[in-house]
Amino acid sequence: MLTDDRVSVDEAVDIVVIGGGVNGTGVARDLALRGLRVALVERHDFAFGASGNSSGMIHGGLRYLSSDPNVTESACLDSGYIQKIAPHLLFRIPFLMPVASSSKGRVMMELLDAYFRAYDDYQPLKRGEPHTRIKAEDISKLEPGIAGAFTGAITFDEWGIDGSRLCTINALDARENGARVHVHTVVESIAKIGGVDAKAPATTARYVVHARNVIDNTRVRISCAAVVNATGAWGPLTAALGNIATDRVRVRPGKGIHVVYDRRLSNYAIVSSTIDGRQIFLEPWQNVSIIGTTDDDYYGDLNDVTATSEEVRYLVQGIAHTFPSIRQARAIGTYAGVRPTLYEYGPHEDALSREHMIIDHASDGAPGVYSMIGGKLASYRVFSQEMSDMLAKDFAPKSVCTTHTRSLPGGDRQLDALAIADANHLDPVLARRLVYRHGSRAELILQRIARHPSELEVVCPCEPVTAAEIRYVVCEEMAETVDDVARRTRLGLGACGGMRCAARCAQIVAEERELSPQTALKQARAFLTRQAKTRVVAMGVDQARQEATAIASMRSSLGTEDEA
Amino acid sequence: MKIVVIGGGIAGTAAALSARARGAEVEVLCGAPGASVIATGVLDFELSDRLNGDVKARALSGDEQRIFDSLGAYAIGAERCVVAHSSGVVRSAGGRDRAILDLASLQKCRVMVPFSEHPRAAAGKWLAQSWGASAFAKARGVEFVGIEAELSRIDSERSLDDAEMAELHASRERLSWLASRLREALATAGPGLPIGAVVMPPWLGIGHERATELSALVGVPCGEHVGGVGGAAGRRFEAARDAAFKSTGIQMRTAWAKRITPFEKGWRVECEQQETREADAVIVASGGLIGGGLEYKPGEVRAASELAEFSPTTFHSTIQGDFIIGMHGRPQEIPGSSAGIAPESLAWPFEREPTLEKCGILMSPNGEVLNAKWLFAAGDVTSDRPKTWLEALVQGVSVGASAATR
Repeated sequence: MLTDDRVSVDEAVDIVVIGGGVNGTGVARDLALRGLRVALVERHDFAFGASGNSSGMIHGGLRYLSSDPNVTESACLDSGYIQKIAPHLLFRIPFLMPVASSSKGRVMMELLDAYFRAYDDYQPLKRGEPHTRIKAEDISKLEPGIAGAFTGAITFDEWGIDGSRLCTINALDARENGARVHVHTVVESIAKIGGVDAKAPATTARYVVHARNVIDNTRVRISCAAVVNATGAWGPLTAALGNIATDRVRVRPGKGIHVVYDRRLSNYAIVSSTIDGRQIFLEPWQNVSIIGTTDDDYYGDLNDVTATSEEVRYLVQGIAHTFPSIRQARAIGTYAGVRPTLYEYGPHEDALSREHMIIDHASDGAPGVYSMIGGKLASYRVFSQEMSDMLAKDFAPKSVCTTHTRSLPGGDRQLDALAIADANHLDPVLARRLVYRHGSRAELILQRIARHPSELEVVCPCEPVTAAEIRYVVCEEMAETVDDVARRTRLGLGACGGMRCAARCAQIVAEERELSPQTALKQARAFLTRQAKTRVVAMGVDQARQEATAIASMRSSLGTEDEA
Repeated sequence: MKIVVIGGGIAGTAAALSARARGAEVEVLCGAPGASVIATGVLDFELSDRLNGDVKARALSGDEQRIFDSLGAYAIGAERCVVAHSSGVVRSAGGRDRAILDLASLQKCRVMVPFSEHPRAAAGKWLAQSWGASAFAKARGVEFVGIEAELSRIDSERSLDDAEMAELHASRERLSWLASRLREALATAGPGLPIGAVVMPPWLGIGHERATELSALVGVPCGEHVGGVGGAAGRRFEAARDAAFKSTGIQMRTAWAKRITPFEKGWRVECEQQETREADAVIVASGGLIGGGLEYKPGEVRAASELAEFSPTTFHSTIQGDFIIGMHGRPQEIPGSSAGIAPESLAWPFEREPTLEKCGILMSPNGEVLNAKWLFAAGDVTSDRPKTWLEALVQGVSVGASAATR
């Protein structure tokens, strides 16, 4: 126990960052790299909210091109930086935007061409290819699944990313640079330390953050001079814990859902429009396809956000408008998240700004407390830099941001997955997925397998994920539950919904963390129940059959009690 | 008296054997393996036996017991058996595939759980701990002890899965190699309670007798733990069925039944490739959603247009005939949405009795399809469908007997 002059605390740091999403982990990393003492506190797990449930893209701010080209430029520049610091995590997604033939079709084509010509100027910043114009008759050659009458199409380039892994490695780097990281830890109050002189320097310890681990109920008290509220849609709730009025951190929570299909269904990401004229897309992403997204005001529980079958049908209809065979494709699940969009009363959801802002709560009687709201996955690094620059003025005035030049964990070297597969007698798909997720740190997992051949056990055959990788993410990446492992490795998110791997994964987690067998079973059941709940809303023909098998399996092994 | 049975799963098998025992001439048409083949080899009357913890199992009737015994590969007794499951639980059951170890009689002893560097046997160490924490282990003073043993002969075997390992152990020579390795491992066990049994991964061959042979070679009862869905237990079921059909003179043909129509005083079954069969009675045991006897057909999959073509009902039988498909025991209604019923209403875990498990052909208490004389249904295809292997057996036996009384 530490004593910080006036109060007893468990940890004393300069800054507490609340929220393990992409902004929170980004800020924690930035500050830790500048040598500041940081604690990161996350209620659930990294990327539990919007960061892990997005469309998985680092895009170049195409939509700001006409209104605010500076935003486009900085977005493209930052996309280039992210590629440099985590090259293993990014993958190219070429987009195809068909233009429907109508009286305005030709004009539309010219306008888009001009628009994308302007966008091309920024593409080199993010190693993107320039756009191309596709003739109507060539569309079906590129994408046989597209149906309809078109004037032509435009292709352009964006980059995909695994948001969960991005958060995890940011947090990992923060920790490796001295940050204290607490996952599954909920902040219960942000208390002012009494007797601090209002004129004391900003670096004086002014707050104690009281938090509780929700798994074992242990408590931690952290003293700090500043608090960053990077809790996304939870922002107003977090502010209230520091006695800040919730209307000072107003967000307009916007729910977005995605449907996941069992394979890559198309060569390009295909832009389509919904019945109410919104742009949506079908996107080949990692080893699956996803369609998305919706944007609806959300009034429900942020800790339990799930897609409904109505939302799924709306999206499927919108994609089928351009890509009819989506109705025959096999959906294997859905995911949903809530955007912390900047508050505005009146406009339609889609018209809301995706910009970000920092709120300084000094005027709310809480100097040193800041809330980060709004933003996008693609802008996390620059948003984190803005926040860190602001704090660094007080704490480390001479420090500079290095998050755009220093590699994230695993991003320092590119490994040749196929050579690794050859040298280690591994399935090439397994090796490629492993290297995708971990970059150069895949070597650490391979070393585990070399030491213990039994860890080559393929626990999740869909992805695939080995026992060695599960043990690695538990030991090195702070995974504590089957859900956490799934976020870091995509275990159990494939066609079988975890039916084949959840129990075994739970056993391994329990073994590494010294949990009881009962806890392992409970974790497996909770994971499978959650999976069933998110899969059922997208259930198609084959899916129903698979689900019936899953029910049989669950009943014969784990039972249906203790539903989470 | 000629009876055609559609489906070669446990319900169809039981119905065929039961009708044959009453003197009927029986032919089984089987399209492909179904749910019975992914069974785990654990037999229960009702799932609630285990979930509620109160034993509701009943004894098999004479007829049922005879049919059951003719399958040979299974054991059932007055007492419930106790099996160890790969999920880490120890559970009781009505009966079991004979290759699966029955722990029921054990007390105050050690049960050895071999583990090795073979990736499919690495779990043994943890499983021993998990089974050891069960109520059964504590109540009986049974210790589960992980013990390192050489289970693969060459390194390349490490890439084999459970089913492939089971095939390896079909060889007697391999089995005696395994027995020597187990004896060596047991010799290193050290002092403690007497060794009561050895629990193996689900690798003990396609024939149920391998476990018995291994036990004799090792000198301690040896058997499998229950594996996941789709292990060797299903292969053992098929082998037992084929042997029983052969010894009782039942024909089995690989054929997909497509249509059942009234014909003179009986029924005509049309299959793919223009094959037809005429019979005095037909028993439909074609399986539920897993086996392929039923289809889920919401409107949204019917058409690739913006507005899905309307699908009048959500579930269909894959065989055309005089069937009424029901949900929860009532004829299924025309849905109130052109996209079909909301999938949330279909499946676990939202209802105790999900629609997925409660859809199928409606029938009278004796197993006759409603409004269709001498047309019967059994197994997962029936709407109040049995959930377990034993229930399917019991229903098949009674339906087979009803059909043979013509």
